[in-house]
Amino acid sequence: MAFKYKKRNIMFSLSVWLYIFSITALAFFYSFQKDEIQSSIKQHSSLITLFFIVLFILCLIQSQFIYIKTKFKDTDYNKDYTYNDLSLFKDIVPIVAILGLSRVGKTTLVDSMFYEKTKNQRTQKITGRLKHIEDNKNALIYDMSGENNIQINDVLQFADCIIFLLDHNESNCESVVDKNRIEANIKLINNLYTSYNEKWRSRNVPTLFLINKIDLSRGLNLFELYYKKEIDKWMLVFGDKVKCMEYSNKYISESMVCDVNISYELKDIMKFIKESVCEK
Amino acid sequence: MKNNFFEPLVLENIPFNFAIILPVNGRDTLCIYNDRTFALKSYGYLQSNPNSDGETTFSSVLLRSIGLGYDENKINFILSERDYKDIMHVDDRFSHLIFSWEGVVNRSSRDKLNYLFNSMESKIYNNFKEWLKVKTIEHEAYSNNLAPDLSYNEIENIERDLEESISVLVYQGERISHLIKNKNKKMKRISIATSFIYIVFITAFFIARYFL
Repeated sequence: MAFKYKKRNIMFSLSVWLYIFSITALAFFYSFQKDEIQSSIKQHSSLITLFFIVLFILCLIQSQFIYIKTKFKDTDYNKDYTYNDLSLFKDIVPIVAILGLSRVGKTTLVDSMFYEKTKNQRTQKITGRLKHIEDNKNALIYDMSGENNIQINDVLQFADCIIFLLDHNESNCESVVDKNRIEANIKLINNLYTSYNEKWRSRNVPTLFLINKIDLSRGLNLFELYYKKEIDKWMLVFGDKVKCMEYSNKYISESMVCDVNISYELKDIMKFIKESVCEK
Repeated sequence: MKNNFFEPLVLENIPFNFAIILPVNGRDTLCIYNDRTFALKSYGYLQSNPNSDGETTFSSVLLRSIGLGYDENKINFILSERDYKDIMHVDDRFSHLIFSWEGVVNRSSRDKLNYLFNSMESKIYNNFKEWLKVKTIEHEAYSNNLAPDLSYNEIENIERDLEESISVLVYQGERISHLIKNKNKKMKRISIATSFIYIVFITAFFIARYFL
């Protein structure tokens, strides 16, 4: 159970409305000219005053805090969380942002994390899913459309941990390194660390750079060749807890089709999330 | 090289603002609309704040029940039930179609519109795809300084068919918006009248109690 401070208009609170109704009701009762009611009110006037002062303070507190449950049911693990839930769960449940360009494999990675077969569907909005990490520890894994930086930036502001997917070619065929794609990846990293809000800069956000589609890279060291320079700059903004890993969504997806246990392939990613957000 | 000619369909005869977004070249693209300005507004809104439907609080419910607290120029979105292939076949992934319109809507009427859009979505998608195919032939012919080998009657038929399907959808949205706005106006009038009667009653009560 957790209460979170959320500054908002006092009139949006249910308890404030209840307070208004109850004090109006008391005034209504007091206006009765029956002696026994008036004398009873006068006799307990100090108690009633104290009660209303306490009620007023509680209403004020309730209006500025919201209740957020931290014990989740099965239904909570199966539902989709929206963009609005990001601000709600911030600082209560760790938020893991899966970033990257369109068609880099973000949704496939999320599906793998939840042991689901990929649906071959484009992600068009910001969607979060609750993942059980260990014991009472959970994390919200957020996926989004990689087509525009607005959605990526929106989620990035709330992220406690980032999994940044990079690749070398947009298509799924084994071909040479696409320079345009590499440049687009570099540009995205650059845009994100340059536009990252100044007020969050003191916050360290652990980042795992996953160099995806490694099965198609013909043994090239993409990190050293293209991404090292930008990742070093990223570390200046997001802190030095940065890790880089080679990865292949294809191997994971194929293992899932064959119903092979894939837990060990994802072990390193889950370990990074656990170390970054759950063991803080 | 594959020709990636694309042109949106502007249905200016529909007087109420709407936009339909389809997957083109691997991204959401404004494909059918009546007004470019509104279409861009809805597209920007969709990109930046896709899930925000506003907070439902006790006061918002209370205000809505008396006809207040409605945003009369709100941009609403409906996603298609099924998902569809990219129009240009650039992306092998499937996407939802998005219909947006301007106006007031409540939950039950949104469900009705959702149902209506779901019944028309494949027709809209196929007709637009067909229209774009014909337009591409026309464009290619003009690019090569040739007379296009197509029937203009065919283009007009597709446009008319699309116009009729979409107008049903848009007019439903507008009708619902109009009904809610009228209801809100009535509720506002009733609230003002009730408040006035209450003030008169309370004043009369106090005058009777203390001065008479």
